[in-house]
Amino acid sequence: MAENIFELTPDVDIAEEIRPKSFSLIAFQQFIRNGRALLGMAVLLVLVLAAIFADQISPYDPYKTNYANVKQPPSGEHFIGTDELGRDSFSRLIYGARVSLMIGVLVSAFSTTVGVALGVVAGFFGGTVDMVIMRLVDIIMSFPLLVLAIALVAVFGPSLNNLMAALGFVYWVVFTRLVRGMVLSLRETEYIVGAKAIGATDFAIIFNHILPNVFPVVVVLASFSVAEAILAAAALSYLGLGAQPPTAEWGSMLSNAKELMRILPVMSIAPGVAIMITVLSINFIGDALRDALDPTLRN
Amino acid sequence: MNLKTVLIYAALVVVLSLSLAPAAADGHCPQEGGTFTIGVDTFLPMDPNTAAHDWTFYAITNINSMLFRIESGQPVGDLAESWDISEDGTVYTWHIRPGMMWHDGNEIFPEGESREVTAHDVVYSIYRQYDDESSIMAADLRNLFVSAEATDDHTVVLTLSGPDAIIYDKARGLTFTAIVAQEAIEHYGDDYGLNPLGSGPFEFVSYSPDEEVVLRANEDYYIDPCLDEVIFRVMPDVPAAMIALEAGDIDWWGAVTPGDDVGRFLDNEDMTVINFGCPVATRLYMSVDKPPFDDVRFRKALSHMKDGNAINAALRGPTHVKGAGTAGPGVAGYVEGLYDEYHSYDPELAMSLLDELGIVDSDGDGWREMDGELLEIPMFAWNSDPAPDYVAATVDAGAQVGLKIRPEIADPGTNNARRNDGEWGIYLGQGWCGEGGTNALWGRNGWISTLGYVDEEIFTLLDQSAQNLDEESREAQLQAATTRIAAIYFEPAFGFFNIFTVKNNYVKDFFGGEWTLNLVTDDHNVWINEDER
Repeated sequence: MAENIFELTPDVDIAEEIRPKSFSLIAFQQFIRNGRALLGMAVLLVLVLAAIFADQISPYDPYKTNYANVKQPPSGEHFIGTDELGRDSFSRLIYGARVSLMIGVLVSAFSTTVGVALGVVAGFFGGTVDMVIMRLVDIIMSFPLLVLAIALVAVFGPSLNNLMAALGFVYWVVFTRLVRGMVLSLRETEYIVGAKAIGATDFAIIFNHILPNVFPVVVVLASFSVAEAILAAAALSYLGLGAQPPTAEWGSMLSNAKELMRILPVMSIAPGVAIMITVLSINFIGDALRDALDPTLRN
Repeated sequence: MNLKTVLIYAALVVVLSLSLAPAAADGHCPQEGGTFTIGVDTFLPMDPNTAAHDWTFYAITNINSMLFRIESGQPVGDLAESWDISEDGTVYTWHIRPGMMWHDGNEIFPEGESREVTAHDVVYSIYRQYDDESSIMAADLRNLFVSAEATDDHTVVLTLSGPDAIIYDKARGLTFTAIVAQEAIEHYGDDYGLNPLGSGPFEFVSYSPDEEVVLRANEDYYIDPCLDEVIFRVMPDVPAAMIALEAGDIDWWGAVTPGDDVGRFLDNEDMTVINFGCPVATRLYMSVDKPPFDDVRFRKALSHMKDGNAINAALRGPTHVKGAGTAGPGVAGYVEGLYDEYHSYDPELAMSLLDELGIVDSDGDGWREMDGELLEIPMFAWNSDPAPDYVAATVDAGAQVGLKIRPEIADPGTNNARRNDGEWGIYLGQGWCGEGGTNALWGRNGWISTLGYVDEEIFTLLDQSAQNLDEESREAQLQAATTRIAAIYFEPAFGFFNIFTVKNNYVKDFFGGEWTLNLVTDDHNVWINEDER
């Protein structure tokens, strides 16, 4: 009797095996197989939890001064010492995560939303709208973006809100330029032409065909923009143009610590390492997302 | 000739050589040439009318001649060779040094086509400051000024309405009247500060804003400078500047040295720490003519809510000096015990005063309200260290008693403009010292009069003291003024700090700056020992 070959693999559902996997599933599997991505996710999760539960986990009030206890080196009581006003540096570092992550997320969300919307409009509709939007993009991109952000904050006054507004204003152009280029190419594809031929509205085409196609690239860029915004905000705060005292923010902590670089180097190192770890984690995630979402980069 | 005679002759030759060898102060230098690099944290355009800034005046007082300079607290001649004062102290006759020439080789005076500085230039310079009400001419000197007249090319007669007991005070008076050439002022207009021209020991070469100012020796000065070149290097990053100082990239740090570094440099045998000589105060000013600051109880609450002495000690380190008022220990007008009497840390008292004023937390959110609305007070400060730390400390002190203080940190120019406009809030203040400082701050038309600091009794006391030639009773008048300032304004004090500057020891014959920076005078001529560098 002929051997039933299906009995050799009795637990395998053949139908399941031959069913093509969805793009999302493949991307997800690719993503979770990436060790660096998991490490980045884990670190970021810790940072996010620290930011959310800062009130509960900080050993001290980050704003409470203690003049009898200034410039203390690291100890069991103060893990990374105290600053020039006797405030616990570790508590300020934890609260700093809240501010830095909030800046990164809000700036990225704003620039992604505005940038993608304008990029789609410019690319899809073309003509005068495209010309106006892209000339605005050209004008903004003709300046170094960080320098432009510094100038804006200098004009409107240093504050956390102005810093986020300035960064949001300069970063959306990156998304617009990228998305517009993709849309220009997409709108000439056969399925878009077909959709138009069967009477699909512009709105439907944009939401059903254009946005899903630009989404993977936008997600990757957005993840990198979070890291970039955190770095830029730290730079601006270091220059005194961002968070104002006594707000605990990593860039301003670095700025304060430079006076004490010789006697308390840990005060500079700690916020510096915090910025580095956060940016590195987000970049790991961004890299993994790019690998997972771009079929040409898989494996 | 025996050996003994030879040795005697040899010894005589050596002694004669040494006695004839001119000192550096006579214009001869143990070593000529070299560049003296001075580090400063900020620098403004060099127009003596507008540059109310110590380090900028260091350059101005080397480019421009002054009638006199201050050395170790005493006036020494510069453009004025000598001067006479009338018996009643109201008429000064300045005898201008002949042969002093304006710098040449520039747009105004081409090479070899300069002219002599005359008494008319001095009169022009004095009136230029007097006529410009926003200039830095001290208000009390302006109030006493009657006229300045050139009676001939080398004589200026300055007439005052009363004697000026503190005309030599280094923080005011004629020490800020740099002598300028009318041709240069008219030619450059508002850009004069970027192209200064004078008759001092060094000529202006170039100015790169926020970078450096280069001066070169003026060979036509009546004393030959030992140095070839002076460079002011702008280094806003003070910790980096301290490293540059130790590495010899800058020869003298001319701005305020952070307290932690002062202690370190005192132990460094290659460096000398120089005391500026006049402790300066850090304090808060308020809009005393507007509510709630117009009520003395509120001002008192602000003064007692914070531990000013502890904050200052933490931020100033070994340069901290406990006290209050404008005059620190050892300075005319100093009142001992002023801090403890008017500014001691007492948050309970601060809270009870606020409660008494009806500034209470009625909605339970932790912040006090006035007339049913959250009382949020802006605190204005400049954006360089340690000002933001004082702001943070004050914000925290306010939070402890339920007062919400909102930091408003900006560049010094914006900060000054807000004060001039009398914008409502509290202002961090720092600087001023001595009798001139007390007058400049609290006197008639003083620095902070735009905030409402107007008290006739204080004006009278200061006017009287400024014209009182008897030191003992002048001291009593100054102390009375200082005490009244504390008693009626309760201007929240943090204490004093000594300004220390630091030089490398290979810089010779140099004693630091005191508003005027004297690199070449009859008494000394700064030089660099390149062998020790």
